[in-house]
Amino acid sequence: MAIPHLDLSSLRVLVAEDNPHMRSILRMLLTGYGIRRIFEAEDGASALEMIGSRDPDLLLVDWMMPILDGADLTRIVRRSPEPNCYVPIIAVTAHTQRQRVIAARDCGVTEVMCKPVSARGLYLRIANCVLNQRDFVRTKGYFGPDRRRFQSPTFLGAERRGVRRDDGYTLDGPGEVDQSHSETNTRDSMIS
Amino acid sequence: MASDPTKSNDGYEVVKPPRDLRSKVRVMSEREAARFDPVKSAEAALERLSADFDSWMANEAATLGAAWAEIQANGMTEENGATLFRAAHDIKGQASTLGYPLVGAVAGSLCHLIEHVPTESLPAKLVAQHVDAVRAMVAETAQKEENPTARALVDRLTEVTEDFVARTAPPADQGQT
Repeated sequence: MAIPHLDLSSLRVLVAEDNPHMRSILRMLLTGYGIRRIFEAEDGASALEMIGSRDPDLLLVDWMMPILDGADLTRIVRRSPEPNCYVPIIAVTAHTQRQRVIAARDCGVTEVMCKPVSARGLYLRIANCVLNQRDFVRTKGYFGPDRRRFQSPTFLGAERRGVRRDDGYTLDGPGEVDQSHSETNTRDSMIS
Repeated sequence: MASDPTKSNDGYEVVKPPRDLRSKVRVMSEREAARFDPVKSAEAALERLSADFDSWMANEAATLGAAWAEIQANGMTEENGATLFRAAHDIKGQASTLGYPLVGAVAGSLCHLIEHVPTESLPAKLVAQHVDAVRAMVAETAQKEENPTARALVDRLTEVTEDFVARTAPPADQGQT
Protein backbone atom coordinates (compact mmCIF):
# COMPACT_ATOMS: atom_id res chain seq x y z
CA MET A 1 0.00 0.00 0.00
CA ALA A 2 1.46 3.36 -1.03
CA ILE A 3 1.56 5.77 1.86
CA PRO A 4 0.83 9.40 1.05
CA HIS A 5 3.46 11.77 2.34
CA LEU A 6 1.52 14.30 4.37
CA ASP A 7 2.48 17.62 5.85
CA LEU A 8 1.06 17.12 9.35
CA SER A 9 2.74 20.15 10.89
CA SER A 10 -0.55 21.93 11.65
CA LEU A 11 -2.08 18.97 13.44
CA ARG A 12 -2.56 19.16 17.22
CA VAL A 13 -2.22 15.78 18.92
CA LEU A 14 -2.86 14.84 22.53
CA VAL A 15 -1.17 11.71 23.89
CA ALA A 16 -2.80 10.15 26.98
CA GLU A 17 -0.38 7.54 28.31
CA ASP A 18 0.64 6.82 31.89
CA ASN A 19 3.91 5.06 31.09
CA PRO A 20 6.70 7.64 30.61
CA HIS A 21 8.71 5.43 28.26
CA MET A 22 5.79 4.76 25.97
CA ARG A 23 4.93 8.45 26.08
CA SER A 24 8.45 9.29 24.91
CA ILE A 25 8.22 6.73 22.10
CA LEU A 26 4.91 8.12 20.87
CA ARG A 27 6.14 11.70 21.10
CA MET A 28 9.26 10.81 19.15
CA LEU A 29 7.23 9.11 16.41
CA LEU A 30 4.85 12.07 16.15
CA THR A 31 7.75 14.51 16.02
CA GLY A 32 9.30 12.36 13.30
CA TYR A 33 6.13 12.69 11.22
CA GLY A 34 6.56 16.46 11.41
CA ILE A 35 3.84 17.13 13.99
CA ARG A 36 4.85 20.12 16.09
CA ARG A 37 2.07 20.55 18.60
CA ILE A 38 2.05 17.50 20.82
CA PHE A 39 0.42 17.58 24.23
CA GLU A 40 0.96 14.91 26.84
CA ALA A 41 -1.30 13.71 29.64
CA GLU A 42 -0.18 11.21 32.25
CA ASP A 43 -3.67 9.96 32.98
CA GLY A 44 -7.21 10.04 31.71
CA ALA A 45 -8.32 12.87 33.98
CA SER A 46 -5.52 15.17 32.80
CA ALA A 47 -6.34 14.21 29.23
CA LEU A 48 -9.95 15.30 29.72
CA GLU A 49 -8.82 18.67 31.02
CA MET A 50 -6.41 19.10 28.11
CA ILE A 51 -9.02 18.23 25.53
CA GLY A 52 -10.89 21.31 26.72
CA SER A 53 -7.89 23.60 26.98
CA ARG A 54 -5.69 22.44 24.07
CA ASP A 55 -8.33 21.67 21.45
CA PRO A 56 -6.53 18.67 19.92
CA ASP A 57 -7.35 17.40 16.43
CA LEU A 58 -6.49 13.84 17.38
CA LEU A 59 -6.11 11.74 20.53
CA LEU A 60 -3.73 8.84 21.10
CA VAL A 61 -5.09 6.97 24.10
CA ASP A 62 -3.41 4.18 26.01
CA TRP A 63 -6.13 1.65 26.70
CA MET A 64 -4.82 0.60 30.08
CA MET A 65 -4.34 3.51 32.46
CA PRO A 66 -5.06 3.58 36.18
CA ILE A 67 -8.28 5.15 37.50
CA LEU A 68 -9.67 6.45 34.19
CA ASP A 69 -8.71 3.99 31.47
CA GLY A 70 -8.91 4.35 27.72
CA ALA A 71 -12.42 2.95 27.50
CA ASP A 72 -13.70 5.34 30.19
CA LEU A 73 -11.95 8.28 28.57
CA THR A 74 -13.37 7.44 25.15
CA ARG A 75 -16.91 7.15 26.50
CA ILE A 76 -16.64 10.49 28.31
CA VAL A 77 -15.23 12.21 25.22
CA ARG A 78 -18.02 10.85 23.04
CA ARG A 79 -20.59 12.18 25.56
CA SER A 80 -18.95 15.61 25.76
CA PRO A 81 -20.30 18.71 23.99
CA GLU A 82 -19.47 19.57 20.39
CA PRO A 83 -16.97 19.77 18.84
CA ASN A 84 -14.86 17.69 21.24
CA CYS A 85 -17.11 14.66 20.96
CA TYR A 86 -16.03 14.22 17.33
CA VAL A 87 -12.28 14.13 17.93
CA PRO A 88 -10.71 11.05 16.33
CA ILE A 89 -9.33 8.63 18.91
CA ILE A 90 -6.60 6.10 18.25
CA ALA A 91 -6.54 3.47 21.00
CA VAL A 92 -3.04 2.18 21.70
CA THR A 93 -3.16 -1.19 23.38
CA ALA A 94 -1.13 -4.28 24.20
CA HIS A 95 -4.35 -6.28 24.07
CA THR A 96 -4.27 -8.10 20.77
CA GLN A 97 -7.30 -10.34 21.14
CA ARG A 98 -9.86 -9.59 18.44
CA GLN A 99 -12.75 -9.28 20.88
CA ARG A 100 -10.81 -6.60 22.78
CA VAL A 101 -10.31 -4.64 19.57
CA ILE A 102 -14.01 -4.88 18.80
CA ALA A 103 -14.89 -3.78 22.34
CA ALA A 104 -12.65 -0.72 21.91
CA ARG A 105 -14.36 0.10 18.64
CA ASP A 106 -17.75 -0.22 20.32
CA CYS A 107 -16.66 2.40 22.90
CA GLY A 108 -16.29 4.86 20.02
CA VAL A 109 -12.61 4.75 19.07
CA THR A 110 -11.69 5.60 15.50
CA GLU A 111 -8.67 3.34 15.11
CA VAL A 112 -6.92 0.68 17.16
CA MET A 113 -3.13 0.46 17.25
CA CYS A 114 -1.98 -2.82 18.77
CA LYS A 115 1.44 -2.75 20.37
CA PRO A 116 4.23 -3.08 19.48
CA VAL A 117 3.85 0.31 17.89
CA SER A 118 5.60 0.77 14.55
CA ALA A 119 6.32 4.03 12.76
CA ARG A 120 4.44 2.83 9.70
CA GLY A 121 1.46 1.41 11.61
CA LEU A 122 0.85 4.57 13.61
CA TYR A 123 1.34 6.82 10.58
CA LEU A 124 -1.21 4.81 8.57
CA ARG A 125 -3.77 5.19 11.32
CA ILE A 126 -3.20 8.91 11.66
CA ALA A 127 -3.41 9.34 7.89
CA ASN A 128 -6.61 7.34 7.85
CA CYS A 129 -8.16 9.48 10.61
CA VAL A 130 -7.31 12.64 8.69
CA LEU A 131 -7.90 11.68 5.07
CA ASN A 132 -10.83 9.31 5.52
CA GLN A 133 -12.69 11.09 8.28
CA ARG A 134 -15.78 9.08 8.99
CA ASP A 135 -19.28 10.28 9.67
CA PHE A 136 -20.55 9.77 13.20
CA VAL A 137 -23.55 7.67 14.07
CA ARG A 138 -25.87 8.40 16.97
CA THR A 139 -28.19 5.63 18.13
CA LYS A 140 -29.79 4.76 21.44
CA GLY A 141 -26.77 2.70 22.42
CA TYR A 142 -23.86 4.25 20.53
CA PHE A 143 -22.32 7.53 19.52
CA GLY A 144 -19.08 7.44 17.62
CA PRO A 145 -17.48 6.97 14.22
CA ASP A 146 -19.51 4.92 11.78
CA ARG A 147 -18.31 1.37 12.35
CA ARG A 148 -19.38 0.44 8.84
CA ARG A 149 -16.26 1.57 7.11
CA PHE A 150 -16.84 -0.70 4.17
CA GLN A 151 -20.23 -1.47 2.68
CA SER A 152 -19.84 -5.09 1.72
CA PRO A 153 -22.75 -6.59 -0.26
CA THR A 154 -21.75 -10.02 1.01
CA PHE A 155 -21.78 -9.01 4.70
CA LEU A 156 -23.01 -11.89 6.86
CA GLY A 157 -22.38 -10.56 10.38
CA ALA A 158 -24.78 -9.31 13.01
CA GLU A 159 -27.07 -6.47 11.94
CA ARG A 160 -26.07 -4.11 14.70
CA ARG A 161 -28.52 -1.35 13.89
CA GLY A 162 -31.49 -3.66 14.05
CA VAL A 163 -33.76 -4.67 11.19
CA ARG A 164 -32.28 -4.08 7.77
CA ARG A 165 -34.27 -1.58 5.72
CA ASP A 166 -34.65 -1.21 2.01
CA ASP A 167 -32.77 2.07 1.92
CA GLY A 168 -29.64 0.39 3.27
CA TYR A 169 -29.93 1.97 6.69
CA THR A 170 -31.20 0.19 9.74
CA LEU A 171 -32.33 0.88 13.28
CA ASP A 172 -30.52 0.25 16.47
CA GLY A 173 -31.24 -0.24 20.13
CA PRO A 174 -29.23 -1.77 22.93
CA GLY A 175 -31.60 -4.71 23.19
CA GLU A 176 -31.30 -5.39 19.49
CA VAL A 177 -27.53 -5.59 19.44
CA ASP A 178 -26.26 -9.10 19.97
CA GLN A 179 -22.64 -8.54 20.95
CA SER A 180 -21.92 -12.23 20.92
CA HIS A 181 -22.04 -12.11 17.13
CA SER A 182 -19.74 -9.12 16.88
CA GLU A 183 -16.74 -11.18 15.95
CA THR A 184 -18.37 -12.15 12.68
CA ASN A 185 -18.50 -8.51 11.62
CA THR A 186 -15.91 -8.20 8.90
CA ARG A 187 -16.35 -4.46 8.57
CA ASP A 188 -14.30 -3.65 11.60
CA SER A 189 -12.42 -0.47 12.20
CA MET A 190 -8.90 -1.77 11.83
CA ILE A 191 -6.71 -1.06 8.90
CA SER A 192 -4.16 -3.65 8.02
CA MET B 1 -20.71 25.07 15.03
CA ALA B 2 -23.64 22.69 15.23
CA SER B 3 -23.45 19.65 13.04
CA ASP B 4 -26.53 18.93 11.01
CA PRO B 5 -27.48 15.32 10.67
CA THR B 6 -26.95 14.41 7.06
CA LYS B 7 -29.28 11.45 7.20
CA SER B 8 -31.74 10.50 9.82
CA ASN B 9 -34.20 7.75 10.20
CA ASP B 10 -36.33 6.40 13.01
CA GLY B 11 -33.92 6.15 15.89
CA TYR B 12 -30.53 6.96 14.49
CA GLU B 13 -28.75 9.76 12.74
CA VAL B 14 -25.58 10.15 10.78
CA VAL B 15 -23.63 13.30 11.55
CA LYS B 16 -20.75 14.94 9.69
CA PRO B 17 -17.99 16.00 12.11
CA PRO B 18 -17.85 19.81 12.09
CA ARG B 19 -14.07 19.95 11.71
CA ASP B 20 -12.72 18.75 8.38
CA LEU B 21 -9.24 17.53 9.26
CA ARG B 22 -8.22 17.43 5.60
CA SER B 23 -8.03 21.21 5.78
CA LYS B 24 -5.25 20.87 8.38
CA VAL B 25 -2.97 18.64 6.36
CA ARG B 26 -1.49 18.76 2.91
CA VAL B 27 -0.31 16.02 0.57
CA MET B 28 3.29 16.84 -0.26
CA SER B 29 4.41 17.52 -3.77
CA GLU B 30 6.63 14.89 -5.39
CA ARG B 31 9.62 17.12 -4.81
CA GLU B 32 8.81 17.55 -1.10
CA ALA B 33 8.05 13.86 -0.72
CA ALA B 34 11.42 12.99 -2.19
CA ARG B 35 13.08 15.03 0.54
CA PHE B 36 10.92 13.98 3.50
CA ASP B 37 9.37 10.60 4.21
CA PRO B 38 7.37 10.84 7.47
CA VAL B 39 7.70 7.13 8.26
CA LYS B 40 11.45 7.00 7.63
CA SER B 41 11.86 10.21 9.60
CA ALA B 42 9.96 8.70 12.54
CA GLU B 43 12.00 5.49 12.33
CA ALA B 44 15.18 7.57 12.41
CA ALA B 45 13.87 9.52 15.41
CA LEU B 46 13.14 6.27 17.23
CA GLU B 47 16.60 5.01 16.38
CA ARG B 48 18.09 8.10 17.99
CA LEU B 49 16.04 7.39 21.09
CA SER B 50 17.18 3.77 21.21
CA ALA B 51 20.32 4.59 23.16
CA ASP B 52 18.04 4.81 26.20
CA PHE B 53 16.13 1.60 25.57
CA ASP B 54 18.29 -0.72 27.70
CA SER B 55 17.91 1.48 30.77
CA TRP B 56 14.17 1.87 30.13
CA MET B 57 13.81 -1.90 29.91
CA ALA B 58 15.75 -2.24 33.17
CA ASN B 59 13.36 0.26 34.78
CA GLU B 60 10.34 -1.68 33.58
CA ALA B 61 11.81 -4.95 34.89
CA ALA B 62 12.51 -3.28 38.24
CA THR B 63 8.91 -2.01 38.40
CA LEU B 64 7.66 -5.54 37.80
CA GLY B 65 10.01 -6.90 40.46
CA ALA B 66 8.89 -4.28 42.97
CA ALA B 67 5.22 -5.06 42.31
CA TRP B 68 5.86 -8.75 42.93
CA ALA B 69 7.94 -8.05 46.05
CA GLU B 70 5.04 -6.02 47.47
CA ILE B 71 2.69 -8.96 46.92
CA GLN B 72 5.10 -11.41 48.50
CA ALA B 73 5.48 -9.17 51.54
CA ASN B 74 1.82 -8.26 52.11
CA GLY B 75 -0.25 -10.80 50.22
CA MET B 76 -2.18 -10.15 47.06
CA THR B 77 -4.90 -7.52 47.10
CA GLU B 78 -6.98 -6.14 44.29
CA GLU B 79 -4.78 -3.07 44.21
CA ASN B 80 -1.33 -4.66 44.23
CA GLY B 81 -2.57 -7.40 41.88
CA ALA B 82 -3.62 -4.68 39.43
CA THR B 83 -0.21 -3.03 39.80
CA LEU B 84 1.53 -6.30 38.98
CA PHE B 85 -0.70 -6.85 35.95
CA ARG B 86 -0.14 -3.30 34.72
CA ALA B 87 3.64 -3.68 35.04
CA ALA B 88 3.55 -6.94 33.08
CA HIS B 89 1.18 -5.43 30.52
CA ASP B 90 3.46 -2.42 30.01
CA ILE B 91 6.37 -4.74 29.32
CA LYS B 92 4.29 -6.87 27.00
CA GLY B 93 3.43 -3.78 24.97
CA GLN B 94 6.83 -2.09 24.94
CA ALA B 95 9.44 -4.81 25.00
CA SER B 96 9.53 -5.39 21.23
CA THR B 97 9.88 -1.68 20.55
CA LEU B 98 12.66 -1.51 23.11
CA GLY B 99 14.45 -4.41 21.42
CA TYR B 100 13.48 -7.22 23.80
CA PRO B 101 10.80 -9.29 22.00
CA LEU B 102 11.36 -12.41 24.11
CA VAL B 103 10.92 -10.43 27.32
CA GLY B 104 7.63 -9.22 25.85
CA ALA B 105 6.60 -12.85 25.33
CA VAL B 106 7.33 -13.71 28.97
CA ALA B 107 5.37 -10.67 30.13
CA GLY B 108 2.51 -11.66 27.82
CA SER B 109 2.47 -15.10 29.38
CA LEU B 110 2.34 -13.54 32.85
CA CYS B 111 -0.57 -11.29 31.78
CA HIS B 112 -2.36 -14.37 30.47
CA LEU B 113 -1.86 -16.13 33.79
CA ILE B 114 -2.99 -13.21 35.97
CA GLU B 115 -5.97 -12.36 33.83
CA HIS B 116 -7.38 -15.84 33.47
CA VAL B 117 -6.66 -17.49 36.80
CA PRO B 118 -8.64 -16.45 39.89
CA THR B 119 -6.48 -14.52 42.35
CA GLU B 120 -6.78 -17.15 45.07
CA SER B 121 -5.54 -19.85 42.66
CA LEU B 122 -2.67 -17.84 41.22
CA PRO B 123 0.46 -20.04 41.52
CA ALA B 124 3.07 -17.95 43.33
CA LYS B 125 5.93 -20.10 42.07
CA LEU B 126 4.95 -19.70 38.43
CA VAL B 127 4.43 -15.93 38.83
CA ALA B 128 7.87 -15.69 40.48
CA GLN B 129 9.42 -17.66 37.61
CA HIS B 130 7.99 -15.17 35.11
CA VAL B 131 9.25 -12.19 37.11
CA ASP B 132 12.69 -13.77 37.53
CA ALA B 133 12.84 -14.61 33.83
CA VAL B 134 12.07 -11.01 32.85
CA ARG B 135 14.72 -9.69 35.21
CA ALA B 136 17.33 -12.22 34.12
CA MET B 137 16.73 -11.69 30.40
CA VAL B 138 16.95 -7.92 30.79
CA ALA B 139 20.07 -8.21 32.96
CA GLU B 140 21.66 -10.43 30.33
CA THR B 141 20.40 -8.17 27.51
CA ALA B 142 18.84 -11.21 25.87
CA GLN B 143 17.57 -9.27 22.87
CA LYS B 144 17.91 -11.68 19.98
CA GLU B 145 14.95 -13.94 19.30
CA GLU B 146 17.44 -16.67 18.38
CA ASN B 147 19.00 -16.66 21.87
CA PRO B 148 18.62 -20.38 22.66
CA THR B 149 18.47 -20.09 26.45
CA ALA B 150 15.96 -17.25 26.42
CA ARG B 151 13.91 -18.97 23.71
CA ALA B 152 13.77 -22.19 25.75
CA LEU B 153 12.74 -20.23 28.85
CA VAL B 154 9.94 -18.45 26.97
CA ASP B 155 8.67 -21.67 25.42
CA ARG B 156 8.67 -23.53 28.72
CA LEU B 157 6.98 -20.73 30.69
CA THR B 158 4.36 -20.30 27.98
CA GLU B 159 3.69 -24.03 27.88
CA VAL B 160 3.37 -24.39 31.65
CA THR B 161 1.17 -21.29 31.87
CA GLU B 162 -1.16 -22.41 29.12
CA ASP B 163 -1.46 -25.80 30.75
CA PHE B 164 -2.20 -24.22 34.13
CA VAL B 165 -4.77 -21.83 32.67
CA ALA B 166 -6.45 -24.69 30.81
CA ARG B 167 -6.78 -26.63 34.07
CA THR B 168 -7.80 -23.71 36.27
CA ALA B 169 -9.64 -21.01 34.36
CA PRO B 170 -13.26 -21.33 33.26
CA PRO B 171 -13.45 -22.60 29.65
CA ALA B 172 -14.88 -19.32 28.34
CA ASP B 173 -12.04 -17.33 29.87
CA GLN B 174 -8.94 -18.85 28.37
CA GLY B 175 -8.19 -16.65 25.37
CA GLN B 176 -4.90 -14.86 24.89
CA THR B 177 -4.78 -11.37 26.34
